[in-house]
Amino acid sequence: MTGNDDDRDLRARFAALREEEAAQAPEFALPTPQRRRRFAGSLIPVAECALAIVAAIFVLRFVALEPRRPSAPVASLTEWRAPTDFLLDTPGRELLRTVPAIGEWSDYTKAVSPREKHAQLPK
Amino acid sequence: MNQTEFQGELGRLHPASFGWALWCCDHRRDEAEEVLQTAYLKVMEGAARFDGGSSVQTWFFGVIRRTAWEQRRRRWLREQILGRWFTQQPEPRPEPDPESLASGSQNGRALRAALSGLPARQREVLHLVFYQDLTVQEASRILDISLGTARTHFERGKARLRQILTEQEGIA
Repeated sequence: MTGNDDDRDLRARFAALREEEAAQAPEFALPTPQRRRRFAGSLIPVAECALAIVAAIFVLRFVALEPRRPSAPVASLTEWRAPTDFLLDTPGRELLRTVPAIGEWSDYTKAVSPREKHAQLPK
Repeated sequence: MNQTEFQGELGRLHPASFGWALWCCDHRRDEAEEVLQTAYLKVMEGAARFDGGSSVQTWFFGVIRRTAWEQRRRRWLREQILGRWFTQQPEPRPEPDPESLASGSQNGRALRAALSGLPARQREVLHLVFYQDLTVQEASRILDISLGTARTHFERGKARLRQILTEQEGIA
């Protein structure tokens, strides 16, 4: 069987199919205004999409994105003091920070102990 | 070509147009009718204009093909958006019309079954050339592809179709 024979055979098969399907074709009628109403149905998906978008906006606005609760004000890092800072105030720390001079011994004897100093801190 | 002649030409082409719409819609008769009516509506409203650059058939078949594609895209969007959001399941795609598939002669059914095994583009080219008696060049215009591509689809489609039909006849 040659290519042309095959083509003829295929053409014949398609022609038979065409005749079958042409017999099922609906009557020819160009759309009239009355018929066009049928296509109003195609607006339904648009309305459905619009409804879905409105619902999504509602969910995002009122459910998903709840307003955040105001948190307590955070102190600046430079101002923050650890509550255990006083423990670093070892006894006699002042003596180590200054150079002793003759005649000033009284100052050293008056040095406040860390515990006393902590007691003086405002509560 | 005046309006009356143009409408007369559309009327003359109507059975072939319906056949093409049927194939563009995978033999879903309801869809094919809807696509054809929408294509006519586009013509009547001036949304699709015939510029005389090709034959009326070539031009109108292109309109039908685009319309079928738009309808498929709308359905797909509806399935994706509404089907997934509200039912968590995609809307089931309607099966090809069993009445139209089962109708007709045994040869017709065999040919439809064989064609369903081909890639869509090969099927379209074969349909336009053998069913609609168009040239490969006209088919390429309708499908908006190059002539070379259309020829390749045509030759491959023919070879594959022959193979499937031979296999079918061997089984029978």
